[in-house]
Amino acid sequence: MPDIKVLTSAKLEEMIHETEVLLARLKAELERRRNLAQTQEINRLEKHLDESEFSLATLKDFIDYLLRQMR
Amino acid sequence: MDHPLTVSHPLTGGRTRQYAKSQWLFVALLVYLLICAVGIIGGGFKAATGDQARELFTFASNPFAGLVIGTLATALIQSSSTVTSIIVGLVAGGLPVGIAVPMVMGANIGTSVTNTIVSMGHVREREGFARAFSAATVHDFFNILSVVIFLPLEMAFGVLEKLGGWLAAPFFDLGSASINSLNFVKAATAPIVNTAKQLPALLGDQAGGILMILLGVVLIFIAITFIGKLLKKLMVGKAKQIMHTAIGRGPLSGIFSGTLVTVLVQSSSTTTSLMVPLAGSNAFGLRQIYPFTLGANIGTCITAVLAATAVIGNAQAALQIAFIHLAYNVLGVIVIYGVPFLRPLPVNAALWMGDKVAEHKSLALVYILTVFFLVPGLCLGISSLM
Repeated sequence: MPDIKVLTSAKLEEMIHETEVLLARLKAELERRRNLAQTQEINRLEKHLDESEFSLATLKDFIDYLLRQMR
Repeated sequence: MDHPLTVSHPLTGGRTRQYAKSQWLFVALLVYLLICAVGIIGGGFKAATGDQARELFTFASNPFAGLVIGTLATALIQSSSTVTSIIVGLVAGGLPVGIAVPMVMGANIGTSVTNTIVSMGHVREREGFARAFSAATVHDFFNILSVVIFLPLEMAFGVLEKLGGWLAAPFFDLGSASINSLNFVKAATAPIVNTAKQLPALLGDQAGGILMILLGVVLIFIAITFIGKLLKKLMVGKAKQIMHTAIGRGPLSGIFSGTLVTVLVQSSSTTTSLMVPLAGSNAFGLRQIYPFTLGANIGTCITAVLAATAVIGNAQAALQIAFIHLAYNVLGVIVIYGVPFLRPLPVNAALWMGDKVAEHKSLALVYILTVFFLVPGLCLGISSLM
């Protein structure tokens, strides 16, 4: 990173513009990745529906897990 | 273009279509059974209580008692649609609407125990458990906040009762074109309901009426359980499509999608429980799940409205309580999500709770027992002494 105190105003403006463009690209890429991850999860909706089925076995497993941790 | 190998055989495709058709027919039959069951409960309640429904439910005239009954019944049955449909049937049979209002509010709280239990399946991974538990409890905190806001308003001014009355009135104030004269569903369900009404004639009003209520409750439970199971299979593709459309859009789209998916699967527990693994995987943040959960509250009201359109007895009051449930959930979303300082409260509380249970996992059990059983039980005990 150059010493910004010695840079011309024009150069500073150019650097600000480049940074803003880069920031926008990074944000867009992050958003694209998030949306992709969400799309992939929704594509597995059948599996998630099975996982989200209420079962007393979940409660039993939870209690078993707690008891094992306590020992 | 489809790969030639993936093209289904005409016979297989035809068989699949036929299978889907038979499943839809079964859904229609179950909806018919649900509507009949609500009518049977109404008839049974009327026969068992005569004109003494108000006196019989004096213990629930305390709104806190009504709220607790709704919460406990739903937490035990695991279905708010079942409980609100039963309430619709009871109102049709003479239960005063004012007593039923806190019960439907309680049903909202009770239904959120399902996804909280589902979230316990994520206990083995600390961060995932925190996210899953937060995704589940955001629904609890929203519903509790909603009661805190609307129950006092209802007790002081009867806001929801009046609103439900206004919404239901047009369906009964149209003279010859009223809901009664156009109601083919009522005509279609009458043979079954009238057959069940023979029970009081055979066993006496009280025993026959109680038997009718029990029969109705069992039929509603069976109908809603199987409708949920079938629609889950039949509508999963459509639900996927709706959720894909909501990605990257704002909270309004989330609320709308949550409503639509819940209408399709006919169960708010299914929709809110579905959010648990989606949050656990970290693909969806709590702030994205929150609006979707609110939509589930609205979508679940369709079952009771459907059931109320064909009840026999006090049909206007039955439709009124169904509309009260709908209005309560819509207003809850508008007020809590619309007012900036209220909006983050359920999210913040759920995030805090998620962190705490991830740290001390046994707190999850304490939370469920306290919120859904201990506090309602204590309230019921205290209100019965008042």
